[in-house]
Amino acid sequence: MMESRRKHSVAMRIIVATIVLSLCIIASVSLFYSKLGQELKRNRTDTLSAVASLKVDQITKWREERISDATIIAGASMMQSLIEQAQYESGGNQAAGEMATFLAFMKQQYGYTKIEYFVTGTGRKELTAGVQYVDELLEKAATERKVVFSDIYQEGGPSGEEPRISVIVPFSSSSISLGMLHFQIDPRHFLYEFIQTWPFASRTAETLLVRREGNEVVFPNALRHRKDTAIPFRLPLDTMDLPAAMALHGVTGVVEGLDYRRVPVLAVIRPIPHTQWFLIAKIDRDEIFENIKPVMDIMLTFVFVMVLIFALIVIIIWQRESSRLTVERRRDELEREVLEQQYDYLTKYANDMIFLMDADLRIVEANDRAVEAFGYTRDELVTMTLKDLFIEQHCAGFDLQYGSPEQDRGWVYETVTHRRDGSSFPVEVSARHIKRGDETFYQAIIRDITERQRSRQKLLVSEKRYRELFDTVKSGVAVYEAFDDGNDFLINDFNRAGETIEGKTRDDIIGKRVTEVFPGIKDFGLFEVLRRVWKTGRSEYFPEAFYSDALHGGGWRENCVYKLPSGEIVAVYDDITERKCAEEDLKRLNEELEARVIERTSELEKANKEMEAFSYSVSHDLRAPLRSIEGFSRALLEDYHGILDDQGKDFLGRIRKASQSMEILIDDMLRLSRISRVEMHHEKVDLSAIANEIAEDFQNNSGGRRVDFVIQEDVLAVGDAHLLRLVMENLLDNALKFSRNNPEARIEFGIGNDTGKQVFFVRDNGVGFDMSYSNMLFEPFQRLHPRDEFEGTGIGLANVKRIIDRHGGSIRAESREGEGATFLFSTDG
Amino acid sequence: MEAKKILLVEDNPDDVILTERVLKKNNINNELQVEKDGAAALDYLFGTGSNAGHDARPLPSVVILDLNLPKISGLEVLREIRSHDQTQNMPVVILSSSKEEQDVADSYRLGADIYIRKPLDVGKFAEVIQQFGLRGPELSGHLPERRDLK
Repeated sequence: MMESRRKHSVAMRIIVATIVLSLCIIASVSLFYSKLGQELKRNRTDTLSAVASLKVDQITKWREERISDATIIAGASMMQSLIEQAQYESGGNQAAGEMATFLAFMKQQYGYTKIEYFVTGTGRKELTAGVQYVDELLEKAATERKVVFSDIYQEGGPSGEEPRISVIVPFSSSSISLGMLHFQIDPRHFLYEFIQTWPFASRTAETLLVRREGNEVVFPNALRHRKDTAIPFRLPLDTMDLPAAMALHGVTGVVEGLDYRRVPVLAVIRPIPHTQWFLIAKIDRDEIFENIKPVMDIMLTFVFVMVLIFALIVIIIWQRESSRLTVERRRDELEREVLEQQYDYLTKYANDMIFLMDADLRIVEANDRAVEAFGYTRDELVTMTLKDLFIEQHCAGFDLQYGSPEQDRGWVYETVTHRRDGSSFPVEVSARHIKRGDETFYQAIIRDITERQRSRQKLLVSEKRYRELFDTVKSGVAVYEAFDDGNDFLINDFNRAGETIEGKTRDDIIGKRVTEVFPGIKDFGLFEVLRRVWKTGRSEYFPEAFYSDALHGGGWRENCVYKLPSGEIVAVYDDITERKCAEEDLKRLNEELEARVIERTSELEKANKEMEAFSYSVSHDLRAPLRSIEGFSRALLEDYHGILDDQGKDFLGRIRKASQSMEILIDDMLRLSRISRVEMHHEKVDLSAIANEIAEDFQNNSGGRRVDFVIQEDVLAVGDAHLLRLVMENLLDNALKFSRNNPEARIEFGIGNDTGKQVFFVRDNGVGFDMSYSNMLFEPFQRLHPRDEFEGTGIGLANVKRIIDRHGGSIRAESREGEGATFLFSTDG
Repeated sequence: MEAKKILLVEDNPDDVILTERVLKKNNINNELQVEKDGAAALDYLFGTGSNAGHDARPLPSVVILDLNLPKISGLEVLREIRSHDQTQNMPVVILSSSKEEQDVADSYRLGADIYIRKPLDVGKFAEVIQQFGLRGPELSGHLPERRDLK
């Protein structure tokens, strides 16, 4: 707004300045112009005056000369005698003739148009010249006995009316009482010429002779500028702006007027003495200003242009201002409209109830929300006062509140209001005065604070809860506040657990600086953490560190530090001295254990190696004697075949078999022990492939025995390939062995389901076994069939079990005697 | 021409008798030189130690070598045999009770010609003889891959 006003005044100033400037220019130019004009006029006036004076002198002189001439001639004695003689008839003609000749001669000499004489008395000619005017002159001359110089008059001549001036000289002689000589002059000779010459070059200047004739101004001589008009030129006498008229009215000197062309002129009027004539020397105004006209024109043009420009500037600025003002006005209008709309919108859709009341608190207006909240209709509300909505007991302070009209700021208070249906709810009332015109109203904005109160309540409860927690929690909680820009911290709060840990009371330490209460805090490292958390707002865990100071023995502490929204720093900590000790002990124990384990392992490895060597040599040493027994038994059988009887052969045969069994046993035992010791390499093992190989091998070497193998493809297990092969060999060999009495032997291998778990199975339809002894199946050396029916050491399945165990798997068997057996196993639990 | 001997390096007397029997059964009647340990075997072959001073006798046509020997082991003896020029190409038969694959592998690696497991079977041995052309008193069979040294 201010901006606009300033702009406006600036614009106005510019306009004013422009106008003033142009006015100044115009004024000064005008001033200059007029001054110049005056100067020029004066100049010219002088010239004109000079010329006029000159001319007047000239004319006067000429007049006097003419009079003088006429007088002289008239006075010539010869003249007189002639005239006398001429009176007499007797020699009169001769005298007349001589007279005539003389006069003719004079006429020629002096350029008169006519010379005539008149004699009174006898024989006179009539005192009439034939022209009335002349007659009058004659009369006058006769009466006054003086020379009469006439005015200019017209007389008919060879070429029409011509101007004439008469000079009449009366004379008398001895014999003539009165005679008159009349000399007539054509003023066009000399007189007019005087007048019409201008001493210096000028375009418009002229001198004029003017005389009066009745009601007219007469210009006897030719007009410079009107060559074609009738001479003399006449104008009405009452042409007041005509210098000639002015002259005839008695004005002399310098005048300005319009000449016979109605052109503005500067004129000097001089009377010509002894005559009725006036001399006017005039020059056109235009000529005066002629020289300076171009300059003046340019200047005028310039001024005109300047003024035009200024005018344009003024117009432009004016227009801009005016349009800007329009825009602004429009904008202001819009703003106001918007504001009004907003207000309406707010009151209509406000979430709070808005009431407008008169001075008596009677409700005048209520917004939609009010209607909705209180349950009354608008019409009902308008009949009520605000008091009607308030609960009785709350009205006490009511009047007090509303009574003071000077409170400009408005006031806020809480109370309880009730609805139409009687239910009540707590509110916050914000009231103020409003002036509309001359009237005072109250405006109350009422907000339902049921929620707020509920929250307040919740907050109180939460506060209490927090406080209890604070004091009952087992970890110490310290609340710090940064002080001196983080260079120290004040202890704002300290919980019970903390008191216990530190052996100080809350009251002792609250409000004190942390560096004072815990002097060792910086060395401890926690101080830095407090600062960092305070600065960055990121919580930190400060793990076990040893705190000690002069007053305190020292202990291990563990801290969690974080920043509250309020800016306070909270440290939750525990005394972990005990734990620390326990940890140390544990660590030590662990280390000892580790050492022991390493020791034990190396011992074990050593034992293993020894075992290996031992079993190797044992088996070797065990085998040697067996070899001998076997060897020599065979040698005996072969070499002493003839000598031995059947029984002898039979005995030797049994010896051999026994030693062979022993060898197998040794092998099995060796294998069993090795299985426990050997390193397992885990990989994916294709059990189907192994089964197929074993089956193929059997078919190739079975010597005709037909067995139906049903082997599932792509059965994979994870484990030691070599050991798993042993398992498969063992199980399949067993299956083959115990089904050899069945001509339709059928052996299956694949993946099956054993109570939800996935297992591998080997099934045969051989002789089976008694399930009641199934628990012995996997024990070493246990056999469930007589040796003469089915050979075997009883180690095979023990081996298998041990291998499966080493894989972390499990194995079990199912059977029905005479129907075969199924072995189910897995390699991974 | 005197028939070459066969050197048998074996510490078990029973095994000696049994081996001798098998040889006889296969008509191999060469004189058997029995040494009871690895050191003695080497002394015999190279005229060292207890055999020092004796001329290098005609070397045996074949060495039958057990692996489990006192003093110096069979594998060591084998290595020694193979590292001396005069015995480099001598046929060596390993006769061992060990079924260990490692022993078999080592034997072949160190240059044994054949590895037979004890007990020596008459029939099996016959095959071996056939295979390696060990025949008659000369017993100068050329083993397929070996050059004749003069």
